[in-house]
Amino acid sequence: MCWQGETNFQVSISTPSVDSDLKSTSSQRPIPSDCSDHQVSIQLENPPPIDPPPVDRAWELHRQRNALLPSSRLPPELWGEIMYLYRDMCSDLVDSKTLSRPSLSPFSWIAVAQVCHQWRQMALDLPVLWTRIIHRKTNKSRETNAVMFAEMLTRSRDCPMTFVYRDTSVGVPTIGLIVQHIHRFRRISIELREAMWPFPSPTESEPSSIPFDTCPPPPILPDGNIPKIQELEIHRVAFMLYSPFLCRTMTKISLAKCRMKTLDCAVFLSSLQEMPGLLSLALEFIEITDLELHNPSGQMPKVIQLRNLQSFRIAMDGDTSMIAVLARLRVPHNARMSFRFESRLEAYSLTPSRGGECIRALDDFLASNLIGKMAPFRIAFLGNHDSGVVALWHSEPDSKWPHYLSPDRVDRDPDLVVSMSISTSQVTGSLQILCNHLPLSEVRSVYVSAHSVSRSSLWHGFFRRMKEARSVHLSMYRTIDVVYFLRALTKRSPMCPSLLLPQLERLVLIYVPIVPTSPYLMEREYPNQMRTWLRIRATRGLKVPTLEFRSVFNLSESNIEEFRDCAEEIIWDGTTNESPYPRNYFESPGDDDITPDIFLGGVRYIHNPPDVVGNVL
Amino acid sequence: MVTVVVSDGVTFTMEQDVAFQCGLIADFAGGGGDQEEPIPIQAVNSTVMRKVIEYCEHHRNDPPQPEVPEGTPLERKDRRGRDAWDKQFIQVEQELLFEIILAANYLNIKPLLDLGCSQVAEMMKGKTPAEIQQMFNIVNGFTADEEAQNGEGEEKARNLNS
Repeated sequence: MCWQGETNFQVSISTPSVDSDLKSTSSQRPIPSDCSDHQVSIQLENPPPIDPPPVDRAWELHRQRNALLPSSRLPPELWGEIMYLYRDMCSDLVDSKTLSRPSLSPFSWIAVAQVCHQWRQMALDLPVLWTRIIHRKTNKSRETNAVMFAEMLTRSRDCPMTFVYRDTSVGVPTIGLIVQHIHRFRRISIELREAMWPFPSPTESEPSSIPFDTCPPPPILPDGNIPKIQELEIHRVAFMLYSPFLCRTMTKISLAKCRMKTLDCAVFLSSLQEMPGLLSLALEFIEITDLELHNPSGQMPKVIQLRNLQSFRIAMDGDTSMIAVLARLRVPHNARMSFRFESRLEAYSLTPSRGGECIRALDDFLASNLIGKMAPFRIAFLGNHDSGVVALWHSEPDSKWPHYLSPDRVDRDPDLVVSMSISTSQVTGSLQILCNHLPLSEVRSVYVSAHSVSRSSLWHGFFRRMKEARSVHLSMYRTIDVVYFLRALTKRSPMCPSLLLPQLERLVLIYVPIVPTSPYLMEREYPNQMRTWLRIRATRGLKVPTLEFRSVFNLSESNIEEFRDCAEEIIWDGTTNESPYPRNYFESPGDDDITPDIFLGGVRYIHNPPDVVGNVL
Repeated sequence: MVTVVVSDGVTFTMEQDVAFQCGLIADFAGGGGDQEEPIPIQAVNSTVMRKVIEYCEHHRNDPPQPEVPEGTPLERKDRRGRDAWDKQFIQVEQELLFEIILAANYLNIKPLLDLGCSQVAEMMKGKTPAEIQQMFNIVNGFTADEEAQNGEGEEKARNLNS
């Protein structure tokens, strides 16, 4: 080889033959002193293999150094546990509904695989670490995400997977991945905010010819994979209720704001019978355009038995036909139930007196399912002006509700508290009808938040069966409502010949304006009426032992004295002017609040909610 | 009463309900009455054992954790929540923290093991790989191939995290 201008300097490199390469393995030995020049020249022409590059030695040294660190004393299985916890910390923040802008991204836990060689090996050797695909809205292409998801499917080997997706829409590659690996997913949770995703479905045609009491056979998925999904949460997705993803292994189903047809609902509810392990069912049928059941032949599903259900929540418009289908359901008596009915346009259609059939259909359902019921129960009506919530729950001393309890537990434990809350404005009559199915004789504690309940007979309807109730919390902003309640507490009626709440030991008034500032109310002497009714009850032998004022309006030391003869003990927290008069008690949650938790809350309080009501179920 | 002797020869005597929170000691004692012979705990030194006993004494009245059925997915296993005392208890030097985790694993004290592991995970929360390296004094020791894979992984993670 010769460089231009350097003709005096020549370097000759002979290409080593295969033989010389093989020889080179022995040339690492030192050259003996008696070697001939020829032999030396051969050895120089075939130099020993060069040492590993320094960088490799550095890697080795780094690894040896890391092995001496305190952190390296933990065995891989414990580091695996730590990585697992770390992953959950990151992904739980995203999965939580309470944090819309999590500080950590769902895949920040991948950092554990990028710390060092040893950590990377540990992470890759832990397939369960890669089993949660959690995605939230991103500006990057969804194809990129699909590549990452595919990698996780590979790294998780055959472990069961979880898929949580929160975005505006979902990419086609991701859909393909889910379908291809459907047999590996145990939990699928999808919520799309703005767009709709046509969830994979075997057919687009309506199964109009299918009888209600049968369901279509599950279609064959790619490669014959049979889905084994246990938990399915689909929100704001065009979901076909006869989708193959609804399989026998289901334990939890939650469908909300999905584009569905009422006809599908009947088929869907029938198909639930094929899921023996179903424990939790939550449905929200809002925004259905075709409200009435398309049922030209007059067929209705037979009774649908859900034998193992523990939790049943439903939110829907007040559509009679839908409720009629629901009325065919039979759920265990120990299942906790939560109903939420919206009636945005026709608020009065809920009530029988206004011609609505809703209550009647619902009454049928409750009559079949609430006999002897001892599990938490909640029913809510939300309309433009009318709102009402009734909740029943159990609590044990020194613990928070709710608890699953069987009737025999109630018999065994006399300290057990069965509580009820009633929050209502105008639909009291409907609530009262439905409450007739509840085991009100078990109630020991009642929380009432009411507005515009100006008939004593309504209170009689609620309380006449609560003969064992010991305490009543009354949260009201209008003195007149309190007066009507106290009058009901004192007066007998044809439907209630004995005095209400004979075991009452404690009456707590919350927010009540004791001395109204309105001249009209002063003229009516409502405060005096409150005292009068309490005194009359005392003269009839049922003096209230304890009367408590909490955050009441306009109470003073001198007013307190006026109540002295109304109860054996008066308790006042000292507040005098805490409670502004609210315009509304309730407001319906907006669209942004539509989450899986919608079934838990249902009602938001504007002012100082009594916390017992909002957290019942 | 139960007596144990640890690796540096220190002897600890504790009440049975405290000692039996350690699965290892309970197994040694066979669930019977007072143990006369000291139980040797060779894998734990006295500093760590003091912390372990402090934890067990604080939680002596806790209800037992429910048995997790065989085959329950890891993510379904309930872990005991950390109260304020636990959070304060586990705020220790990094080296001692690892020793506590090892001791909890050796002595078979599941809640303490969970607490220690959670604390390490908490320490890592929100940190980049470089910050984790710095925190544990780790040098990466990656091969060129792994570096390349990491680069790809980071890119993907950045895509997903942004």
